Amino acid sequence: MGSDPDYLTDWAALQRRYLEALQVMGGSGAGVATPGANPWQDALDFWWQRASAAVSDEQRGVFTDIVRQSRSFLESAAFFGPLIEILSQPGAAGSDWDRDLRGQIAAMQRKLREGAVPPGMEAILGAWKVPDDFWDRISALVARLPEEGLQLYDTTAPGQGKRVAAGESVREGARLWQEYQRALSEYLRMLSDAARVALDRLQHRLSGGAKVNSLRSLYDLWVDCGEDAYAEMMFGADFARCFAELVNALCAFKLHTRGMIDAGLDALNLPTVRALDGVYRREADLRSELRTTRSRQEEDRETLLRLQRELELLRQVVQRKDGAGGV
Amino acid sequence: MPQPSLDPESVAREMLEFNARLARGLGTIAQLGDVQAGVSPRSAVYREDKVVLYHYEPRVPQPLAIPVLICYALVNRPYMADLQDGRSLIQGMLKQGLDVYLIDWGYPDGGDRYLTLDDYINGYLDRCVDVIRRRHELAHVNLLGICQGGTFSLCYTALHQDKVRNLITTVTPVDFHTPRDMLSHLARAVDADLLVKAFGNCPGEMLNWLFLMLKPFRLMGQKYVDFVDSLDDPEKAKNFLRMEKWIFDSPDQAGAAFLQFLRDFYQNNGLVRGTVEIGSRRVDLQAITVPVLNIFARDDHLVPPDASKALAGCVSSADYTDLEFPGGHIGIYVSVRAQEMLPPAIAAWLADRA
Repeated sequence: MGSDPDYLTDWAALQRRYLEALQVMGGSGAGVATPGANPWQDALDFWWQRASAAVSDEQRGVFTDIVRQSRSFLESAAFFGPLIEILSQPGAAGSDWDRDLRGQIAAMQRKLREGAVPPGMEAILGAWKVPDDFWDRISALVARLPEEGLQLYDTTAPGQGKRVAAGESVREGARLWQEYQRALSEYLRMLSDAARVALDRLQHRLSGGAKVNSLRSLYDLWVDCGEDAYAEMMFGADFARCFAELVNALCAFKLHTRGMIDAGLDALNLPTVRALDGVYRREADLRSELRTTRSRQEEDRETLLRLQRELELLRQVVQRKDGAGGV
Repeated sequence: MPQPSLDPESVAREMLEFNARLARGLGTIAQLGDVQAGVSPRSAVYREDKVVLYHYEPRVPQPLAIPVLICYALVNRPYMADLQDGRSLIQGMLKQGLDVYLIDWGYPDGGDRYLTLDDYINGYLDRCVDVIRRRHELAHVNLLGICQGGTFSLCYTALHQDKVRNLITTVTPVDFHTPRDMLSHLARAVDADLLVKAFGNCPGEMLNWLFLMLKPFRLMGQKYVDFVDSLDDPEKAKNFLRMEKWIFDSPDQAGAAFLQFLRDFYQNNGLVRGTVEIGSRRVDLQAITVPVLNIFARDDHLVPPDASKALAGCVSSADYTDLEFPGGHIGIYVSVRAQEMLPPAIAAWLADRA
């Protein structure tokens, strides 16, 4: 083993830590583990930090995704831990087992209401999310601009200075940020509801005798239930409306903050997005003109060639006539 | 009723094994080197802005006289059609004796924000068709559209039918409001104008999120966990990485064209309603009379079969053929079954209409 690369020998050491962690987990008893508190994941993260240097940049990106989802798979052991205990009861059958199963599923659903993230949903929960401090940074930027730097906040209303207009812009930004946060909360709530429905489906499948003899088969069953519940929610009118509200709120907020950032750029005499957009528009117009000109040029060239051919034919006719006249 | 059995110790062992496979897999990945896509020899025969028209080297001495122009979608990259040896639609078509061209739309940037569908369809696509016609001294080409590129091909054929001999559409959305169309369902109430105003070009990453959102548990989670099982096999690992590279190689969408496609096609379903205008001309699918081969994927979650099959009732072609592929939206190009089924079917259909 002496020739093994570091990331494998590191791993062997970490396996020992896992076994120790396992003993801790085994003694933890009932209750749903808190996401992120799983020592297996911590060890995986630690290992990946060290091992990631062994691969190229391109491969690192892909493997990071693999590690992230593997982490999620390991997390499922914690999430489903209490359920696994029930599934492991020897000769489990009958109403007691079903009652325990229902009770545990209900406990997991309560945890979801309290904010626990079920395995497999981490990525989708993070999509469409703007960093929490984004608005604070943008509003701070405008607040620090000097009066003479507020050119883009010119106002036509009498008695309103640029500082007042800038203040209104910040208030509007705050309103749009809150609107976005509201839409995001609604979106996350719907995803959480779908996860609870997925747990109901999982319970139904387990009670119906679905074969689960490994963590992986439990995870796969959970994925099936999750996809079914998610697809059902997705096809509903409520989710389409909620999703559109989220995207629209995000766009409105982004558009507004872009204007605020433009004000900052303008204050520093740097090119703004608005100015750049004007350049893009002019570029598009010029391209269009160029194509039209080329197209006309091509048509003219073809006309010229046709006329040349006709002229050549006429010359030949004239020559023939001249020849005939000369006889 | 027997209940499932599972015990914490076996779970722990399973996790250890999983982790060990993951660690060994990193060794496999590290040895693979960079993953290349695109296998068939080709040369660029026309360039305009970021668009490149490629001609693939024929594999037979006398290919079919009328070449096939493949019109790819603006979404993702066209090397999907020539991903790797043995998993390449283009390679299969070349082997079947077809002469193949492909349009690569490139990666739009800020300067392309005002490119419209008119620019793409009546502009770039038309000029590529003209280049091929001139090179081969032909009046027509055979046109093959892929996904959104199929929709473009339909619009093009409706507007420039004199330049198209036969039309082949693959996994092409036609009716954007069929009941099982998740993508359309989600996009229906999005404020398209606002989105393009806010972002300029539509970020490829945003579209990717949208596609992954359609099956989040499988596409963002289970797929990677499954892959850990294949990590010991360098060939399988390479195939996976190549596919991942393609999935996340998502060009931004030129703002004006994206706005028009989202609003007129996805939201207003204008292609089947006959309300789409490209440039100043209305697209009337009923005007299409050339032979049409419409290939769709039975398990397609991005373009449901019904969305493609609607074409039958929209065109006037007396020679119209539907072909169902038993697979999904991507499998139709890269699966082993697709290689056995599609190139021969396409070549035979074209040969009958040469």
